[in-house]
Order: sequence, then C-alpha cells, then structure tokens
Amino acid sequence: MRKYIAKRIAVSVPIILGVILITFVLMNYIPGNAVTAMMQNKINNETVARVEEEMHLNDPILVRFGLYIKDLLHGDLGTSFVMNQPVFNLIKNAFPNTIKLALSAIAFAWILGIPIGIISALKKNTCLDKLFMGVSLMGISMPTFSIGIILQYLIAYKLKWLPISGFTTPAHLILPSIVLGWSMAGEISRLIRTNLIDVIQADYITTAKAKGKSRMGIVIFHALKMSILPVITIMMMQFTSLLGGALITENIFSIPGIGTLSISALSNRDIPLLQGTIILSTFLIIIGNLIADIIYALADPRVHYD
Amino acid sequence: MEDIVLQVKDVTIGDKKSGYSIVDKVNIEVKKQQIVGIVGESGCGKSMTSLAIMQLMPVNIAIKEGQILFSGEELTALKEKELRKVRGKDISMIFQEPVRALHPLHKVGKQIEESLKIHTNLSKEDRKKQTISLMKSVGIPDAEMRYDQYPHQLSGGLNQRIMIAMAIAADPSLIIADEPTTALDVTIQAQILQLLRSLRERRGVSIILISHDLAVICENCDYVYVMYCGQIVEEADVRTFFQSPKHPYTQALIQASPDPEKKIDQLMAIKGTVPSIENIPEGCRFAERCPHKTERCTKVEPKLYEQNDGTKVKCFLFEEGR
Repeated sequence: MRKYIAKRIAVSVPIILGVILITFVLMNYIPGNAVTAMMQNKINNETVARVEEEMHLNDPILVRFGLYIKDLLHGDLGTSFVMNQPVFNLIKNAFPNTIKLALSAIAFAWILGIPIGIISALKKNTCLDKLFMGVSLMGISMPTFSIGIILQYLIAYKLKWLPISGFTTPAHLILPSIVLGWSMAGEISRLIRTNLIDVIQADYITTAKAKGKSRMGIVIFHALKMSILPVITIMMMQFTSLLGGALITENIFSIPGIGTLSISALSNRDIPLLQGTIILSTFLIIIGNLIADIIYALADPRVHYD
Repeated sequence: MEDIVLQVKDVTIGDKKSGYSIVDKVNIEVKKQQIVGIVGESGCGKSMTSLAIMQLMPVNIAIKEGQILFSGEELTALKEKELRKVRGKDISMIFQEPVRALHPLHKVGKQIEESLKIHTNLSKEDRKKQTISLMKSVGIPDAEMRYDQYPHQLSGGLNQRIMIAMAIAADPSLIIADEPTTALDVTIQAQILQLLRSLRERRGVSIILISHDLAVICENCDYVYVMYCGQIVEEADVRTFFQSPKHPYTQALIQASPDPEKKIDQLMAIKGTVPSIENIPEGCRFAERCPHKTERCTKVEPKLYEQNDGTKVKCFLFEEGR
C-alpha cells in the first residue's frame, strides 16, 4: 500500500509540471501586452520597454519558465498586476472561504444524493422514484446561474428567509450550497440508483437471498458498498473541482473565494494571479484523484496496488 | 410416502406482465437421499424451476399455479419472513458460476459464516471454527489461510467448494445445484460432482442436480426429468432412462451427444429451434422438430403416459403404454 501511494505521488509530479508548462505557454500567447494591461495604458513607450526588460519579458520562453518554476518552489507565485499583492497571499486569503463553501455544498450533495439514490433504486418505478429522479434531473440540467438567481429571487428577495449575498454568517452559506450541491446530488443519486439496480440483480445477491438473509440485510451488507464504490471517484472529483473555486456561484453570491479571484484575474488580464489559481486547482484535482484511488484500493480487494 | 422431501405439484411459472408461461405444469418429486437430475437445453425452464422452489425468481416472474411441498409444508403459502427460515436452513442452493455467485468484496470464510450467523446461535469463535471445519470437509486445503481470502484469489474449483461449504453450513436436507460444474474445467468437474455425491452419504441430503449435460446427469443421478420448452417430457429411473430413452426429444438429445466409442464425422443435430414462449404451438411443443410427427401432434397436447417400466413419457407414441 505504501509503495502504491509513493508511486502514485511520483507519477503526479510530472503531471503537475506539465500543466504548469501548458498554462505558462498559453498565457504567453494571450493577445495584448502585459505591461500595458498592468499600467492601465497610462504610460509611455519608454516605460513599457523598461518594465518589460525588468520583468524578463524579452527573454526566451524557456528561460522565463525556468525562472517561474524557481520562484514557485520558493512559494512565490509572483505578484498580482492589479492588486499589487503577492498571488500567494491573495490565494491564502480567499481559499478558506472556498473551502467553507465546498464543504457545505458537498455535505448537502452527499447527505441528499446517497440516500435518494438508494431509495429510488429500492422503490424503482414508483411515484417517489420518479419524483426524486425528476428533481435530480432538474438539478443536473439547469445551469447554476439560473438556479442561483431563481433561489435568490424567491427565497432571499421575496420570502426573505435567507440573506441574498455576501459571506459573513453561516446562513450565507445555505443558498450557494444548494445551488452547487443540487446538481452534484443529482449526479450522485442517479449513478447510485443505476448501480444499485444492477447490483441487486447480481448472482451474489441471489446467493445471499438463498442463504435466508433479510432484504434490509442484503441491501446494507451486500449491495450498498458495491453500488457506491464506482461513484467514489466522481464524488471526489466533484469535491476537488469545488475547491478549485466555483466561478459562477461565488460571483452571483459575492463570495470572496478562489472563483471570484479567478474571474477578476481573467477580466483584468492579471496573468500571475490567473496562473496561480489554475495551478491550485490542478494540484487539488490531482490530490483528489489520488485520494479517490486510495479509498478505492482500500475498499475493493480486487484492486491491485503493485 | 414419508421419505419424500420435496414435491413440486403442477407448478406453472410465468411472467407477470406479459402473462407468458415459462414453466408449464411441472411435477417433480425428490425422495430422501436421492439425487434427482433435471436435464434440458438452455432456456427450457430448468433453472427457473429450481429458483421457484425457494421463490428466488427475478421480481417480474411469479408462480402462477401449483404447489411446492417441502416435508409436507407448503412453501408457496409461506410469507417472506417464514420463507427466509427455510432458505439456507432446510434447502440451499449452489449456482453455476461460483465467481459471480460469491460476493467479490467479502472474504470467502465470512461468506460461509454468514449462513451460520443467520441460522444458528453459535458464538463468533464457534462460528469461525465451524466454518474452517466445513471448509476442510469439502476438501479445501489450507482452510485457515483460505478463510481470509477473497473469491478472486481462488480458482473456480475452490470457489465452487466454498459455495458447497456455504450450502451445507446449516445442515439442509435438500441441496439444489444449478449447473454446478458448467463453468469449471472438466477435471475439476468430476471432483466437484464426486464431492456432491459424497454429501448424500455423509450428510444424508437429497440433491437436485440441474444440467444441460446428459453425461453429468446419467453419471450422478438416481432419477431423471427431461425438460423441453417449459414442460417435463420424460421422467425415469436413471438406468431405465439410459437403456431405453423413449421421448423422441430424449432420443435426439442422446444422439446429439458425443460417444467416445463410436468414431463419427459429424454429430447429429436436432433440426429446427425451440419455440419461443411468446409463440407456443398448439399440441406437442416438440412436434415441429419431431421425426414421428402426425397431424394429431400439432393439434392435441399429449399427456405424460406411464409405461410398464415406470417411465413417464409425454408423447402419443407411448399412449398405450409399453
């Protein structure tokens, strides 16, 4: 097991480096001049040339990539053009808000999605199943911005049950968590439902029945683990993608998280900040996948980790 | 009569929605310590019959008519909760593909132990001891080590031994083995069948052995039922059956089996196909493929006619008895 984890971590390093290289190169080809963007056009050509020289912008791309990696290893992600602060600090301040939102959204998704999937499978083709699957499908198919705005209008503006936006009290977490969690709960419940329906028809379930095991006992001890196991990877991926920042939802609800940071970086051509947020989410997705694979290997004896 | 363990009486099994019958008025009788074979090609309803005994059919399939009596008790009248006390305790099952019939995430030892957990009051330690001795009794070497392994770590033959250990754990009086050796190598097949046969003497169980393989049936059973398209077309004592197969379908089946004594270029095949359950013909279901077909065969359904040697045959050729 330890060997497996070490091997997986070793494989992750080149992937992270690859993503950094790709984003770096892509950023390099974004049209427009970084210096003029930074100075907001209030400068003359001489200053532009001087600053370009200072920032090594005229050096070959590989040299600049080398410099970037060198700084990165020292925890230096550069300085934001627009906010004039180290990118590392900006991310450090925004990340806890994103974590809070991600945790509460994922809790919403798992606590609702898993039981709904199980109940729908056990009550297959009943009204309850159809209702659950309909609500799940709605969550999956409606774009987050429309769910967000509809909920803001109905629950916050009309009914005044919850705050409309901001991020000061725990109540502020509820609406954005529903917006983010609904579609994820929908995905999870539909997958678990399909898996469980399949698993219940498997031969080993007939064996358990032939042993005289009760229906509940079969569902809990024989069927459940088998039907949730394949969903673990997707559940982890949902979580890590949330940690990378929920662009639209954070924006709609004015949550000062990674998503809001990314959007402002994008619209201001704040290249160091944008790179920083992309590297963060890459890193999180790779870690998340690693954790999912480890859980999978621990839960399923058929997975070989050598 | 008192040594009759199981009686399947006029059982018809059908699809709930479409109403089609998969198994039609089947009668089977199993005596104490008897090994009864059911033979027929795939799709003839033999597996469905075996699942119906403990009512383990898929949800859309139900017993439409008939009774199933186990030691005089009517299983078809039992509630789910009462049935659970019969399943695994009085009657147990062995399935075709052991690797698929065992839970992939549970240790094999635990899977055997589960039967003991459901049906006995043994303590945890006693259960484990009992499990290991069961594993040894079905010929699993290194039982202590195997106890902690998973099905994918064991060979097909060993997995089938695990299934057998599971089946005998709660000391049932009837074991239903549905194609227990079909998925195994030929050499392992013989060992598993021998193990099953030995259970009869050692544990006094009766066995229903279901197979599409005539050789397996003839070598292991005392009494044989031949099924065709959901019906029993012939039943006989195994010796009589083998010496004088009567129903044209049985005869054709035997001709279609390879015989190592005779060198032939090509095996006989039965012409035509089995009628589908949506499209059951009037009269005898085998008529279309039968070399002895008369006009009557396509109009009137023959009954099971009893012969002088005790055989029963569902064919007009044997109407008068021979």
